[in-house]
Amino acid sequence: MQKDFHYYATYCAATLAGYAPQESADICYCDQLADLCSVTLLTKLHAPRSAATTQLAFEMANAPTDIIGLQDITRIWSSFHFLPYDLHADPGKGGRLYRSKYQLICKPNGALLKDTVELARGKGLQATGLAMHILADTWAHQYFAGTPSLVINNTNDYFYEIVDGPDGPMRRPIKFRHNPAAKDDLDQSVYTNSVYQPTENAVMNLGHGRAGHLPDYSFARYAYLPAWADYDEVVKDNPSDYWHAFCQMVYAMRCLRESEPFETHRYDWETPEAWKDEIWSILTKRQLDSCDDWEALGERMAGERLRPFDLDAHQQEYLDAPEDARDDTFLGRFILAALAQKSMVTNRIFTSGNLLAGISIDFRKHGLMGIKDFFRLARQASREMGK
Amino acid sequence: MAQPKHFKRQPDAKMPAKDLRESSEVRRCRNTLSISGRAILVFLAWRFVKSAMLSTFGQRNPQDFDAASFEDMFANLSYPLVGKLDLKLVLAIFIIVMIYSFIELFLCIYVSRCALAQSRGEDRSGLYLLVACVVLAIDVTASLMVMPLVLSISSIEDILVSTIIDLTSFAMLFDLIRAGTKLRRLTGEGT
Repeated sequence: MQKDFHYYATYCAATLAGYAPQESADICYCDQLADLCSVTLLTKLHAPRSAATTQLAFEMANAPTDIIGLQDITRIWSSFHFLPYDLHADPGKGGRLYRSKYQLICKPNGALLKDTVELARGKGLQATGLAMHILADTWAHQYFAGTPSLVINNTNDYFYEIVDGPDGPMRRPIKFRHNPAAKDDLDQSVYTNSVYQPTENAVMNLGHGRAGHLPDYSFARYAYLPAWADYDEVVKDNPSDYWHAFCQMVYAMRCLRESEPFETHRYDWETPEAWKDEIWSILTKRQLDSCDDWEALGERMAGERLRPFDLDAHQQEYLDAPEDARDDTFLGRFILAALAQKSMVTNRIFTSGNLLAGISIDFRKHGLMGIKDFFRLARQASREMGK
Repeated sequence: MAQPKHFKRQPDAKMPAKDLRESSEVRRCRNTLSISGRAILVFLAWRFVKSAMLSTFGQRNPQDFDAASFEDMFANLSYPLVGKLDLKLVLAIFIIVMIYSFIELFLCIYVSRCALAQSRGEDRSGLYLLVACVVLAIDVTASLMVMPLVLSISSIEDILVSTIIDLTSFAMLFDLIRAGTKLRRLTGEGT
């Protein structure tokens, strides 16, 4: 998903879930921050680099694709953008490595989603925002995996956009090109995607790169053949999926705010009902960016205009804080939430017998083994137990 | 505001499972035809160049070749038939081989174009499958017939590489025939 949904739509959802405008602003800030919190940013902040929730384009270009590099890539993208649906799925074919990759395919309403939302409970607005980012992405990025894999994430020229024609819905062939500088042409169904690379673990085969930005456009409806689907066609209805994501975010945030348990496959259809027509008009409007529309809707919902997203907004607070107090700053709480989420997902993947995200070690059992950055989680847990 | 139209989600419970499987099988056959159709051209080019080079240079490296005239070219060949047969007969054999190669070239281009067209969903008669069968049969037979000659004049590396590539080209032709036949059965063409 893009900033229009992660930032502005989340602001609307948080408002409908009962949060005050400032709280909603904090939540949606962290939702959008998940797409920008890279190793580069964390290095600038002298923050733990293991808390990275994304990798920028030039970081991906320099990322090694040896086993350690692949595990690092998988940890980030599976934890924050392609949450696995079923870690015990059986593809019915292929060896262990293929099965491991198949089990990382993202879909909404998986068991890990419940764990993600519950992990954010009582951890502040920053954790809530991060959880909402992950929840929303499970809808947009479904059928792709957060690991570089040709046999899972590849697509071919069987790619059709379903548009409204004079006689009803019609299929228009999509033409992909590899020019990231050019804007997607919505009228001609010409979109940019990643270059085809026949190497299994090439970074171009990560996530939905082969489908371009189509999963991130709320208006897009399309049919294609995922590599894992064995020539079965997948029809993606983004307006419907985004509407489900929105209503599920409202439900999830209401659960977190009102201390109710979160359950998958449940949505808050009633609260957004009064705004449904306006939301649908935004979701189905063919435009590359819906920020302005969502921003206007958010202002009408909350009665307060959301400030534009500023990546530098909380950095000085983090830099000025003493070392032992950084975890209590705005970014510090986001970093802790990111570390906890990555740790949880990596642990789930590892304990399912899947080594694609690397090895997960419990500090409390094994002492000092493991990545130093995650010691913060153990210290945080000790502080919370002491309270 | 009108509700958005319903779009089928994958998998769709309303579509019979048999239809879903047949649709994916049709796509699989079309994809196979697309790949095989292109591969045939690649392997054809390989066989054409191999035949021409073998007939012209024999076992000599082209950079070592130094022929002043057309007769010298054949006189310098380390071709085993030279010296045993009349030069004119060798020339006739060479011409026949080249003519057959050209015929095979056009036949394979026809098969490839029809396969690629059918992979795009266009209607094509089943004639190209028959031609593909004939080409496959001739290629396999010819390979078996020249095998003793090849074994006597070629190094083990040449034999291995050539055999692997030839077998692969036969497999691609066979795959094309199988996919084309199955596709016609699934889509009801020719019935």
